[in-house]
Amino acid sequence: MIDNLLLGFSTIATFPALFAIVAGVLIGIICGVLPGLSASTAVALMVPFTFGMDPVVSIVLLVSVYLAGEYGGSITAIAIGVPGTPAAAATMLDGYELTKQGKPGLALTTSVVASSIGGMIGAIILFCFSEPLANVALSFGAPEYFALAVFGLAIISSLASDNLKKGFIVMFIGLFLKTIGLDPFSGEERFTFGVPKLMDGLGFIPALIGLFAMASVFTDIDKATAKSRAIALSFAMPKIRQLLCMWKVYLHSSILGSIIGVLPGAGATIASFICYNEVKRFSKKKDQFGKGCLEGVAAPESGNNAVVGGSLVPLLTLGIPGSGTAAVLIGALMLHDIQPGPLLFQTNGNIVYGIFAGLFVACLAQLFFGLIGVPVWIKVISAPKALLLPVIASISVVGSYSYNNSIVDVWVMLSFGLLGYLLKKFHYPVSPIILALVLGGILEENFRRSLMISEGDFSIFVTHPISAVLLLFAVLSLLSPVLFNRLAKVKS
Amino acid sequence: MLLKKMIAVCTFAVSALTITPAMAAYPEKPITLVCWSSPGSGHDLMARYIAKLGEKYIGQPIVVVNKKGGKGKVAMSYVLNQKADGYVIMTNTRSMTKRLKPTGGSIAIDSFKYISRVVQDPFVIVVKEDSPFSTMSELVTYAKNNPNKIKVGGYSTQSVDEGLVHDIEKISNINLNYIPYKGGKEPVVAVLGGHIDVAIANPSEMMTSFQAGKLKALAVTTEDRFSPFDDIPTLKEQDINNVTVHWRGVMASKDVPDEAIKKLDNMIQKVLEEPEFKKFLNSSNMLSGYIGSDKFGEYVAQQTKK
Repeated sequence: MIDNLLLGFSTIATFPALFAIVAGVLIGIICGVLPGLSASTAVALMVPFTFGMDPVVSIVLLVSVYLAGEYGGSITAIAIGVPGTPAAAATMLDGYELTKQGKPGLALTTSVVASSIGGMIGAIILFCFSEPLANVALSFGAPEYFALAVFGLAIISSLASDNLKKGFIVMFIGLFLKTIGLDPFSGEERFTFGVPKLMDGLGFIPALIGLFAMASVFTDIDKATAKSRAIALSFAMPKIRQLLCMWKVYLHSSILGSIIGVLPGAGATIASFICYNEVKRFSKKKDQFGKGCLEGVAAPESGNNAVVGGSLVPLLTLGIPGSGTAAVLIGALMLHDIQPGPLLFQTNGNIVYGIFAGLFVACLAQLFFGLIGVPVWIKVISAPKALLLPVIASISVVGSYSYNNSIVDVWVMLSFGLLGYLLKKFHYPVSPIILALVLGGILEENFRRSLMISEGDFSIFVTHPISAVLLLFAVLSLLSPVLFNRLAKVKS
Repeated sequence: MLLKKMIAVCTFAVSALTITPAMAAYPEKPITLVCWSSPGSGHDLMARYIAKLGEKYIGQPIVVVNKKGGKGKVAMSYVLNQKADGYVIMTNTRSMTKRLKPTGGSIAIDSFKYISRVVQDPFVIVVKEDSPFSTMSELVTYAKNNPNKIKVGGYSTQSVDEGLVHDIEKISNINLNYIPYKGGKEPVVAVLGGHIDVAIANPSEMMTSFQAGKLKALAVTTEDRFSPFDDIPTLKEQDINNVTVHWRGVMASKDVPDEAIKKLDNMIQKVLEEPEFKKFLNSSNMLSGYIGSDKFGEYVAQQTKK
């Protein structure tokens, strides 16, 4: 094992490889910051540049972009309430709250530390447990994915705990919007009104940009005068002790994030929300979540960076992508004549262990550049709103257009902007829509696929043990606020 | 009024004069190759290799632009809305043309000129290592006694995969339970996990698990056996008279001059000979599948007639 570790580090201890890591981290952070460029798009855009590179260098570069892209998205989520990547929508819940209180330094520093630790734990899990985890990926069939999606949706009970009814309304709006596009089984068009672009459904990235970025422009536009500053900001940083005492949160979320990363199709967004929810469930400071709690920033951040290591497990051991980004990585590996799969450890051990080591070093690079960046971002936020809002608006338009080179996506973004504005105005939570848009497809497809497999027998969802347990957790999760309230009343 | 008409006629005449020699010099500006799938996908990589390697043969840069959506409809309507001068061409696949009507409507098979078929991607029918089936006939016999019990996974609905399954059903007079999946690799994963019985997969999707001995292959769907599956019989050898391959190629709007089509076709033919392209095909487990512009259109039309 030590031999393999040394092999890995010696593989990447070359100037081009280390340069690739640093460049990858910087590119990833920048792409993460720009809404519209998610981690997976960033990696896909980098693939053509790796054509002529050495295989190890190119893979290490792409993995670094992937890792840092997942982190970069949370910078804007915290700084201006605009998640740069879908997964950062969970970070925003508490991170942006802290910024509003004038303490962005706390959230930004926590986020980079938690991300880097999450990434490292993910890498360690990848190194030590890839074999057993690969079997986890295989044990998930259609009913299990359906149950996972239900469990994910049940998180709404904690996202919208102060008003569950409103949360459900918003969630069902999201689930309805997700049905737009081609029916996954019959191929019929649903609510597309003959627009070919809508056959693939509403673009998730444009929706995300609209709901957060554009909606915030609409909301703040009347408050923005030439001189108004966003908020009175301090450069206060968290104390090292504050960061250290959250070790349980890092560990807990990183393990959860890695496992969710292993499951093909689940991905960073679901991991972030589930980690947020689980850490909140076990926290002593439950009532502080959503009001600017450092744990609420650390949990999703550790989680979504741990996904990177996790999603590489099925990629390297089975040749199955654990996430959309990992799918792009498989393509890149194959270009270099490397077949990811069960034989990879024997045929190309140096590459596998190089990836472990690269991921580890990339975490350190991310920590370094992330910390350097914090004061810069604080400066950016302290720009007057009159300057900030037009910039956000134009980035939103460009970001959603560049997502697919299509003007339809800009309209989608603007419509979601309007929707987000109305929701905010009438005090409805926005994040359930994100949850519904991410999980709706998995939910529907696997529900129907399960019934096709079982020939219409609904018992398939409870006779499969993993599915039964997840569904039970979902029910408990939904009922827990009600039960806790009852309990509190009885006690008093 | 008269003057205006005169000017119009003159400009028309002049432009007509200038167009003719310009056409002879095709191409005199960069060519856009529209790709209907996302950057980094197998299809996109093929487009990028053609662009990279084709430049020196055609004498102009080729730029790949991704227009994703509507199972290729977005890219097709984009190409049809451009000037039909051969400067905007696109990649196509069998699953894309499979969904089109032969003629009529805004987009149909005859809206395009087919430049060349570039690669073919055959199918391998696989089961888990411990599956009771080792040949197609064992599977067919079981299916005859247990209609609709064998779960066969493949990519998407109305796809080439589903077409193949229905063809096998018709030829062998059996009923299978076809389960569509979103990605090409998902059915293979479902077979490995024991959730379904059989998967229809392209070599790139099943190769590594097959080499590691976790999958058994029942048949390949090509005319003849192909490497590295030399031990796996074709469907035809097992009395199922069917040949189904997926392919990818390049096409242009139907009004593009034949001369431009010919030049592009020649370029692609030369690209296919390039060692770098051969290496790409090899590493992505695809076979060269060149069919020139003289036969490609007919080939596509025939496939959609079925």
